[in-house]
Amino acid sequence: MPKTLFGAAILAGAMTLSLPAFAHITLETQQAAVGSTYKAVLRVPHGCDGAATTAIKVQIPEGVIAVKPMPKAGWTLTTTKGKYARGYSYYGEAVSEGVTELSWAGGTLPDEFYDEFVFRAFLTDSLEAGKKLYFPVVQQCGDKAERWIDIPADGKDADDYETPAPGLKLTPKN
Amino acid sequence: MTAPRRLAGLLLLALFALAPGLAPTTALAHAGLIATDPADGGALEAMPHGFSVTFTEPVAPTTLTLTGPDGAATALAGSRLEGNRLVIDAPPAPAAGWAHGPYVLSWRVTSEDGHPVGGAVLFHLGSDAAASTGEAALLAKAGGGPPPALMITLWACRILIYGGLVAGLGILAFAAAADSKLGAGTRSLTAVLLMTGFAATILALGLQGLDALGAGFGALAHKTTWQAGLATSYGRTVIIALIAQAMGLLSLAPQSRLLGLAALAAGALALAVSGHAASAPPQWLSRPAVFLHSGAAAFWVGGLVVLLAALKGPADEARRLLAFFSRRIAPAIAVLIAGGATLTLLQLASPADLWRTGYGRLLSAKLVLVLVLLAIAAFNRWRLTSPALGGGNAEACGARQTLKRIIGLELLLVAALLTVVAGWRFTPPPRALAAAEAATTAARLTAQAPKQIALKAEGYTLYITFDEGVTTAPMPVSAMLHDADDVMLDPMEIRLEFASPAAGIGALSRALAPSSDGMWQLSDLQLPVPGLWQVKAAALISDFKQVRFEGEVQVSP
Repeated sequence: MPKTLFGAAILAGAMTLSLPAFAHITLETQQAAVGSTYKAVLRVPHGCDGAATTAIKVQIPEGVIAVKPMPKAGWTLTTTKGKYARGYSYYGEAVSEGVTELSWAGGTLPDEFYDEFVFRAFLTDSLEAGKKLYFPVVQQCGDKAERWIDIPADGKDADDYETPAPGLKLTPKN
Repeated sequence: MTAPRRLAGLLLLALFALAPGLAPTTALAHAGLIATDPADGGALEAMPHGFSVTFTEPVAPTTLTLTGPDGAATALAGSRLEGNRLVIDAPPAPAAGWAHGPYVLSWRVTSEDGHPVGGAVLFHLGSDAAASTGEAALLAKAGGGPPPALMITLWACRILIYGGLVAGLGILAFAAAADSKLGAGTRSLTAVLLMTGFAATILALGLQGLDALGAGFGALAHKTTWQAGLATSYGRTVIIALIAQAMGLLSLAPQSRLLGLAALAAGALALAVSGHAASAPPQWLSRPAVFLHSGAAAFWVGGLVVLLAALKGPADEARRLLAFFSRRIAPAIAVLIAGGATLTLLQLASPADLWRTGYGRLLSAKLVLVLVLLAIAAFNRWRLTSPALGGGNAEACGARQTLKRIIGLELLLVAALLTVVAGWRFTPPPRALAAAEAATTAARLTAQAPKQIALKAEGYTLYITFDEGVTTAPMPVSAMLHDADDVMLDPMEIRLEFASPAAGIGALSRALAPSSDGMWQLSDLQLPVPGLWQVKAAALISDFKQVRFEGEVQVSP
């Protein structure tokens, strides 16, 4: 048992070191297998240049279905539904439409506080393992906005952008 | 498993578990810009004592520069951090004061996460901020001649220099050619003409420096003024003119024919190496023309002076000199007129320039004086010379008296003529005006032609049109976004960023405003220095889709 503990410690350490800068809006879990359910925790470390955050909007990428956001006290949660580009199978059931956007609005998250916004989703196996999956986020602060929507072009990574979209690495199906 | 090992494991786990929680406080965002003083696009009456740039977090500056209207960048050395505010000292004011016009405050700072962040703001200095564009500054620079006091002094110097080069050296040359020994009075006159000419030539060098630098008389005390004068093309004229007048003075005692003739040649050369006339293209024609024209003029003027002096002396010598003068002066005047006519044709763009331009009006005045002089010369030659050459009778004596008075009048006219010629220093000849106008028009046409650049990314094309060319003056900019099928899109936002790494100017960022026709507009963009500028653009197509473009554009002055 202590051996497991030690291994866990090393794993935790490795994860801590591989974390990107906390400057941006990021996902807490940065790796997930295709064909699995993923709990996305969006970490919001600051407002827009000092202004308090008043809304968080998330775009759901193609291939991500069965999205269920977690309600948050003080925030009005809405979803936008739309047709998917193709049909998917979710536990044997055909799915062709669903949530494409999430929005937590009407709250106030001052710049000096930290908060998390959570949703659950299924990563279909139409997604390509080995690639990164991005959830573009718009952080609204009153009439100002920070758009964490840059999806790195081929050959670049998130560090090359000032406002990269939060992403996770897709691993092969378990 | 021993207790210490277990404890170590637990401590390690606790440390790593805590680390992510600690991280947000230690590693913050890239520093975001909150405010600047002066504000971007602002207008200031006077240069402030300092600037400030406020970020979302403390920063460490790496490069701070201030770029002036002339495009020169000054590194800003003094800066300190007050909380999240970077306070920057303004550089010491230049000696001539701060020039009005556009300035760019450019920074590159490092935020706490180690990422460098750059940016810039553009502000105008001067109450005439709107008008103080590069073009206006250029016009002000081009339009202002020397101040009146300097102009009069320069003019006076020119007249004295002509006195030395044309009259003084002319006397020596004519005397040498006629093998005439100068009387004591004429020798003194010549020496005075040459010495004042010599002194005026030296002073003219300093004045030329003042004019070149646009400085006041006080600057005559500085070596740089004289160096500046020497550096102009007039510097060559000054050196040769000094040598010529020194040769003239040396040829006086004892009187040397060879040195006198050589001095005139040097004097004519001095006038032929610089000035409006000598620089008229083609120079292979204009320079010899100036040389012959001024040499012949000096010979004529000198001849008049020597003749006048001789007419006061013994009759035999007077008759000999008069005979020599009347024989030799016709070819000299022919050379004078040929040279003058050549230069006139080279300088004037059209006959109307004779009364339309300042240069032409001076030339007209000179031509009138020349015609009067020629008429008098003809009268002398055909009416007075023959009787005056007669023997010692009363008629010949009377003719010589008349001749004396008329030559005196001629010399007064010559003085007036040289005064007029000295005024050419201040009037650019029409051909130069025409060339300058053509160049300005051509430059303006090139700069004003609308220029469009097309930036492509991810199948989208952003067309950016600089409506009056890409210049350092404020220019209207419009942009439109097309998709891969070349259909115009209606984006939510378009931002443009301009940076000039060569000039050390970080990104000047501007949001464009939408207009009803789907074009996005920017009216107040002014790039402070010409050259190659990097252009970055970001078009927000939807809440979650932004396309970034990159390119570059050549900016004209």
